[in-house]
Amino acid sequence: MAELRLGIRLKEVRTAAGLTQAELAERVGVSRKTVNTVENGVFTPSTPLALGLARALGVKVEDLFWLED
Amino acid sequence: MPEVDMSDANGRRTRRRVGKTGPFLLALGGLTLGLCVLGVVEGRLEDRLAGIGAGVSIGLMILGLVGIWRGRSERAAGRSLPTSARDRAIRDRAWMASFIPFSMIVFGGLSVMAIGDLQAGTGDIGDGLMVGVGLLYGWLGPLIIMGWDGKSLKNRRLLEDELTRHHRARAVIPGFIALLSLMTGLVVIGLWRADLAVRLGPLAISVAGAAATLRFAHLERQADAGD
Repeated sequence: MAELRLGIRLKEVRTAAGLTQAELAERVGVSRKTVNTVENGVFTPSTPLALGLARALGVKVEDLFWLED
Repeated sequence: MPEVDMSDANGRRTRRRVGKTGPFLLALGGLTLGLCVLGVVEGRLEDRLAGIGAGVSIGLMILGLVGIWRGRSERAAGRSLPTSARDRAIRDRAWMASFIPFSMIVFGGLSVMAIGDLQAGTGDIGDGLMVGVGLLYGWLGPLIIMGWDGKSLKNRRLLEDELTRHHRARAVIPGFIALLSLMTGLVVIGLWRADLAVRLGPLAISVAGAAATLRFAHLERQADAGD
């Protein structure tokens, strides 16, 4: 099976929502570092965290994360 | 670009505390080291006690220097200090994980000397205590990164998140490799010099624990990059 690569648009959606990393982290209940590493692609979030981020930003999870071809 | 609002009182309090802790510890370490040297010169302090005091003093001075360096590097990077309770707790844990390894190795080294005295038959209760302290210190860093120390257990709700578990899993790898390598080395040494293998045991535990703890601190620092 080919390696799955994750596309991330968290930073764009977060800044469009007018939130800082710290504010988003507070809403989701994680540290600011967690949000930072997800945005930078350093850390791949679990499904619950990805869903939590999407809910906190009021978007679908597919708007934040997708599989790259 | 700083994204954390530093205008609230908590933020200012945190900034002041971080700014003064490093110089305070450096001064305290220097003072106690000076007192130890003075005690030896004046003949009022036993060599062994002076050695322990000097070890602790040097540990405090290293801690202070790391604190000053850390504060400067954060200011140079233009990084804001965290204002939320969760981020402050995580920052404090990373800070502990950065300096504790140095104390672990210092106490591991001191316990090597104490075991030497006990093996030579010249040791006393102080040497026995020093061996115990060295072994306990070897566990301190791993306890902090595993979240099993008192402070982490108390703040479990704040400190336990997905990234922490990820960093913990990655940090354990170098510690495990170091422990396997050092124990292998000690077994080989023990074939010829069993006494030396026993003597170096606490230091091996400290070094392996320090490797995991430093890796954890490094990962935590990396997680701040690129924000």
